[in-house]
Amino acid sequence: MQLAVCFAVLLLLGIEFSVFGVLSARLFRLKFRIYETGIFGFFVYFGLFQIAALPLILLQRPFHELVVLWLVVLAVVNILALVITGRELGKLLRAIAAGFWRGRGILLAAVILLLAFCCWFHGIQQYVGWDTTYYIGTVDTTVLTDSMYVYNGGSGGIEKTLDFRYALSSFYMHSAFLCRLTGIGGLLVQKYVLGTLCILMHGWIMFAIGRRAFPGVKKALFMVGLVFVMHLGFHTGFSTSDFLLIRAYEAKGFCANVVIPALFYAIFCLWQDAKKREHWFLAFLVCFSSIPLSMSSLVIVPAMMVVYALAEWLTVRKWQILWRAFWCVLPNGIYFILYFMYTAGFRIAVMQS
Amino acid sequence: MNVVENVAQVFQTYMGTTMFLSIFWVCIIYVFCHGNGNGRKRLLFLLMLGILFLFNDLSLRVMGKLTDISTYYRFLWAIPILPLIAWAGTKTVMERRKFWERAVVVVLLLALFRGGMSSFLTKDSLRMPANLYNLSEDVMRVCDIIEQDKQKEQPVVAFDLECQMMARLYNPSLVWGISRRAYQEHDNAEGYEDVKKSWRAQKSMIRAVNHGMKDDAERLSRALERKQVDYIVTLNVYEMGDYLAGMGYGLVDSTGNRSIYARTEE
Repeated sequence: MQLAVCFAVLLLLGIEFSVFGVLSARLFRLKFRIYETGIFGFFVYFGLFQIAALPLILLQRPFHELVVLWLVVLAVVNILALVITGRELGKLLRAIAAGFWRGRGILLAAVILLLAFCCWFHGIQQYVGWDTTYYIGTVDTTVLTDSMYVYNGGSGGIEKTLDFRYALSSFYMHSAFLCRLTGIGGLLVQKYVLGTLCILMHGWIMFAIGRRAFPGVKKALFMVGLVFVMHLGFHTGFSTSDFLLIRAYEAKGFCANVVIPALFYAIFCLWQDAKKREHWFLAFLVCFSSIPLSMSSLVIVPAMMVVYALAEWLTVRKWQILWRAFWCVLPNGIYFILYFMYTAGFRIAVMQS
Repeated sequence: MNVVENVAQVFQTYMGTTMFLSIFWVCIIYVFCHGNGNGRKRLLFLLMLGILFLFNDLSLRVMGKLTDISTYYRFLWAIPILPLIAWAGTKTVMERRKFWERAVVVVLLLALFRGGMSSFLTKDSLRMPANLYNLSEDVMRVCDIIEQDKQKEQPVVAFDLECQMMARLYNPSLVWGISRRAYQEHDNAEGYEDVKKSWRAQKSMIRAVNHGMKDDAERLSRALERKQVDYIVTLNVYEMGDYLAGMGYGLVDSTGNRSIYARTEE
């Protein structure tokens, strides 16, 4: 029963990403390819969640206020999407179904089976480390105590100050939101919902890279298959594959396998056409939502963007590239200043109730 | 990766025994040879800037000071190793016209990967878990026993190490009596010679619950008092019943591997 609920939540999240993607693309007048809409929506969703959650975390408001606020946001977004983009949503669904139909065959079946195997493999892993206890503990403690980062996720004891190493990212609060909504424990939500989501999103982004690199669907599918075959054989300390097949439920897993590949995809798109607004929008959004997804993105994502922008500027000598890249790295810059202040001694004391 | 000395070491640890880095370099050369003018320039600048800003020992030390040197390996995630190899592999396979040629190249590719892989697929990793939580049944039973017996909402529990790692995944209302850092730095049965004063209380609890040492009742009693430990979970083989009874802890129940003791005196 709990597994069925997890599957339903996963399906709902997929729908929400599409809704967020279609609506925001319409509002900002962006024209994405069909397979890009879901990726765009994923980052819009987590970016918006951070906007809702971060002030409440820093103000140490009760967790249930975030739950109510996010439910209201979801309701508003979904109603708006139905009213404004009802037809486009229908078109998107039909286009996705048509895409699957066009790509039907042994290759598609093999890739789906491979992805399903990876999801199942992740689900049966029994790895438990200190990080596991901390992250899943954070989710469960949030629900149990109706507070956010006031208690230590690992030990369960009360904190003296908010730990900015974790509190600046709302990723685990989103998991707690799912737990509160479904009544399922943090371990199951993280392992079966978020873990599976990470693997599927990684596959989707690899498919998008493949579609950009090759003209046909089959080549893109073959590329996805090859990536996952290699993942199964990249069992080393801290490889991205380790964070995909064993620890996909951690924020770090999302950083390694969703955020960074998505930024690479955005950069790849910019290589093809650096003038297109959509590509810059995607790059900005990935950077903006990188911290909401994982604090590990704090330096890696802006570093990637800076290296890319400088290389591109040296290649085509257009100042506009540096200017736009500056806006992309700005959100992470702000988070970095906050984190640096924290490491230098700036603290927000926990107000004990 | 506790001790990080240089970037080469980080690469070695990250790549392990796999051949992916070598194949990646071959793919880079392939891209360079097949790219257009701007593509080649871009690739060269990316490599140079990557080495200049990220992948050198100075950057390693700077990043180490800004964040944490043990997390430097995450910068390697920024190198699209697998996507690039997959792209080159796809190109190599899909450019063959005849089906049998494709099949041969696929087999060759897989053989190449297989030779240089470090597989996740082992007998242990494919073992089906006993329950949906993927946790030890024994630990879950311990948590259930405390849940039924507890007098306050969030009791403090001194767990043995394995139980400590899993207990809060199953029951988040239990609070650790021994911290993560104490376990990471002082998990042994040795004495207190090299242990700082601030860690001795937790060390005494670790020695008792995780190693079954019964030679330091006074310090342990003080530590349990100071940490306000409500429950002690330790392994049955240590037979701690009489020892802990002297400190005011009585047996609540036992599982196959563990005994649970509760504070009986206020």
